[in-house]
Amino acid sequence: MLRVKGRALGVFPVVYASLFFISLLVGRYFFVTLHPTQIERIILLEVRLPRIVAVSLAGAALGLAGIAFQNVFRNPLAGPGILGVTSGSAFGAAFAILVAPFMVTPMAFAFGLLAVFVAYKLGEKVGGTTLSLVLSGIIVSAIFSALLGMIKYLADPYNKLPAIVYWLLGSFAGVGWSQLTTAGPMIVGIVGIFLLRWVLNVMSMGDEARALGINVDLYRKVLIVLGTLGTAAATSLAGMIAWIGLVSPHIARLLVGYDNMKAVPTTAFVGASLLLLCDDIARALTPAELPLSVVTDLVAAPVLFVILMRRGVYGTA
Amino acid sequence: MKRSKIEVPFVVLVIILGTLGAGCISGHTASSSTTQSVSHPTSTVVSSRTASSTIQFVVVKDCMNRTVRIREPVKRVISLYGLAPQFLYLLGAGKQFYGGWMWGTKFYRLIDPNVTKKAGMRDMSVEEIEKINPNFVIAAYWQADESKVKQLESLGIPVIMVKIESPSDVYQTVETLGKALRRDKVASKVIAYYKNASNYIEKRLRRVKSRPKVLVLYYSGRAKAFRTFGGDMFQSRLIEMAGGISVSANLTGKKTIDVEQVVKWNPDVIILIGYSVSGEQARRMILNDPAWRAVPAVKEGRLYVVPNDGDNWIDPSPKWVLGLYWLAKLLHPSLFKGLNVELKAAQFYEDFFNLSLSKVGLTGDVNATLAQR
Amino acid sequence: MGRRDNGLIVKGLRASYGNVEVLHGVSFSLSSGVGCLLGPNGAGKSTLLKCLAGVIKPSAGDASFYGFDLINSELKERARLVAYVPQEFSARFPYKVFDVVLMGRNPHVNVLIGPDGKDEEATWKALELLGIADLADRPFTKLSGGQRRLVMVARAIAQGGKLMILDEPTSFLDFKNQFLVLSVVRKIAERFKKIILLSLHDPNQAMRFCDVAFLLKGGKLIESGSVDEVLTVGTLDHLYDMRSRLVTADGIKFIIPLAAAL
Repeated sequence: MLRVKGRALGVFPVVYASLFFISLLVGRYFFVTLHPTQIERIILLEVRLPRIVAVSLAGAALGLAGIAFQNVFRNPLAGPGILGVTSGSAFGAAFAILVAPFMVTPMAFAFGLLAVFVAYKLGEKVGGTTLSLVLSGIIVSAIFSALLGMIKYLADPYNKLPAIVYWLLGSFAGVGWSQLTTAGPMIVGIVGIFLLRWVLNVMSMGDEARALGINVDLYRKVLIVLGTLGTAAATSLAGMIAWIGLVSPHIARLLVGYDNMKAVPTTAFVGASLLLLCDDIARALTPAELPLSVVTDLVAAPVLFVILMRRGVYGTA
Repeated sequence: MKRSKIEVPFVVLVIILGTLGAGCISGHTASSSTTQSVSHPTSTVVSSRTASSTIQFVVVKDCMNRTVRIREPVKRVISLYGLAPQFLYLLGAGKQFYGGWMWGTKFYRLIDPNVTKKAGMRDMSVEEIEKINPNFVIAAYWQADESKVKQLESLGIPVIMVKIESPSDVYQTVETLGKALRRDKVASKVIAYYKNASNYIEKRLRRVKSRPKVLVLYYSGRAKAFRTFGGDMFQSRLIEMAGGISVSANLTGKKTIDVEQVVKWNPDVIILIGYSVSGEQARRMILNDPAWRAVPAVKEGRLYVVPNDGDNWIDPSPKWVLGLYWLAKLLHPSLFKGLNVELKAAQFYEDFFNLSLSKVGLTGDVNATLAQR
Repeated sequence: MGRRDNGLIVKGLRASYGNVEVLHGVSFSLSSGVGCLLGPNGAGKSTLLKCLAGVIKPSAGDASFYGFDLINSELKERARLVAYVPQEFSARFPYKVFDVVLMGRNPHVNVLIGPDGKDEEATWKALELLGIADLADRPFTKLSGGQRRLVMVARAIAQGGKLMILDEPTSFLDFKNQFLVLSVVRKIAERFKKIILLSLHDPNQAMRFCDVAFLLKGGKLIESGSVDEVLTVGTLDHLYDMRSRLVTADGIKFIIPLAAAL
């Protein structure tokens, strides 16, 4: 069956598990006890646990979308948003805040998918190569950003505009068990990409992959769909989360190498751990919730910088 | 080499254009505001002769201590600040409100059916404002540095700055606008009413033994994230004035908070305000959410919806005084046994807006009181 | 028709890049040994090989290998029969040499599970055969041109199959490495009884290492046959628009170029 070399692969799940456990203990209402009171139990089970689960799934989904897109587009600086899913989601959420405040999550999800669909169709018309797909993604992102700007302009500055701005900064505040319907697409994305990690290896060869027996067009579509589902779900739940999808694959590769058989599962754990760390800081450091992207910017971006310094853009140190 | 030949002149060109551009924009700032420290009557009638008629002026001092001369009679007022036009209606000068930013027109539609159109004129350009030639423009004090305000002043259009962050700010705003509109009598009546209410409450509160901890929340548009007001905001100050302790006082501005933080604060009572989502809907969300049961106030049902008549009673609006009455009665029912909030509201609407209570669509827990423990 | 479905049979193959047709109906067959494509730049050698390998789709024509339809068959099935060594190596990420060669096992691998012990064995065998087992842990991006070419050949070997297609296997290699690679290919053909089709620039190498020659000019096949028959001064001069001379030394034949028309 699976022959997995190297101890590093075993380390990260342990790191994640400890982080999970620590996250359960961290919070504004701090307590450590073996016999939790009713209040403490509610906080553990209804407040912290669902949030930690959601954050882990989102981190893993984003990281895996990142590694999938980096292999499909053969670009180590590709992130989950390369085809426009995050711009589309942002627009969908802002639109919902403006007109239908209870529909924020489903609208964000729907528009995220729509953006990628449009980018894909556009890319096909423009040549169908990976380059044309990336360019279409840039165009679609730009269009949705412009529409988002329009919405910000129309929103009243006392209430709706701050709500939109805050949503865009990202947060897992208030995520409970009932929000975890978005877990479905995230799990699909995670499991799907995990199962296709061998295909990611072969696809990194580019068009030759066809000569090796891989139906490049089919798998490219499938991987884009899987990555988009996971990213759209994570974004619709928590807003724009920058850097996690881009940085986690690089950290994973630094630990276990480029072979996706190892790098993919490691990326999932790295993404989950990184986002969990950031969310713990965001929710527990100050009385008010810090916007998540502020924390990820401060934590993950320097990490990427360090990696690039050590590894170089193409991984040749 | 070819590359450097193009790059250097290009960079120089960009720098030149950038400097010229910046100069053009900042060149519009003509500082025309004179600050004279006049400690005497702040309203003077000045008449100057022109060829055919005498133009009257009224001079007021705004919240930044600037002296503003306003041409009389006041026919058109434009507002750049969404919380200001409401006070024009309070002073009975709704007709003079021409248009601009106005947040929350639902109540004022009962008085002026055109208010929605007027509030739709948000974001008028300086040229448009000049064409309309208003007697004055109202702006918030924090808009003072905006280029629009500076341009208006350089065009000779008077701008009155207002601040509405505390009850005393409200008194000053009403007084200033009253003077500008030559409705000093109405302004005095309003301020007297406000001060009366404030004194009445303050006197009774001297006997208070304990002040309940109060948390004010509203739903922010994302799933289940509730926001509250920091200590520098009107709503928080009102709570303190009504004899409560605002648990979010050490925050600033509007902030999102987590359930855990609420548990930590452990408020005695939670009041819910409605914006895009009504306070009633917010309450239902909280009651249906198992996570909130960790908060004792929620478990024991001490959640109250702030009354809303189009404006939330505790927001910085003319109705704030009703919010004060409501809060005082809610938090200290034994100290205010004789206070009938609904009656006070009915009288207020009658006296200042000529509306009967039945016409006003009032929602929320108007007659709520905190049961004594 | 008879039992003529032996080996590689190509009939009327046409291919285009965009609107420009590059192959104008090529037909030939190769039943054993090493066949080489010779011809000037732009004759369509690379295009022809890519069609047979499945990298691009021809616009018309058939190609079969022991009766197996090379043009319309399912990708994975074809990859089990035909291994392709490309001219340019497009590895963007620094995979280890072992992992690159292991990818050749894809046609035999369950996509959802990944390669197993058998696949890893085959990979080691291929590396050892080419004498590059000591490079197994090196990142592919850090190898020299010659080493990379050998890794690609190893990958093709690990892939298995009875037909191997190599697109200009000597390009970018120095004098010694060209000799080495072609010797290895020859050895593979003899040892594993594979049919090999490759393209070359130097007729001398063709004479030395190949059995059959196909001369391609302007997208058309102008000559085909055994190396001894076909590679004469006359045909080569016509193929390349040159003047050359045949010389024999130590029993080995050499074509020496004398003059070329612009």
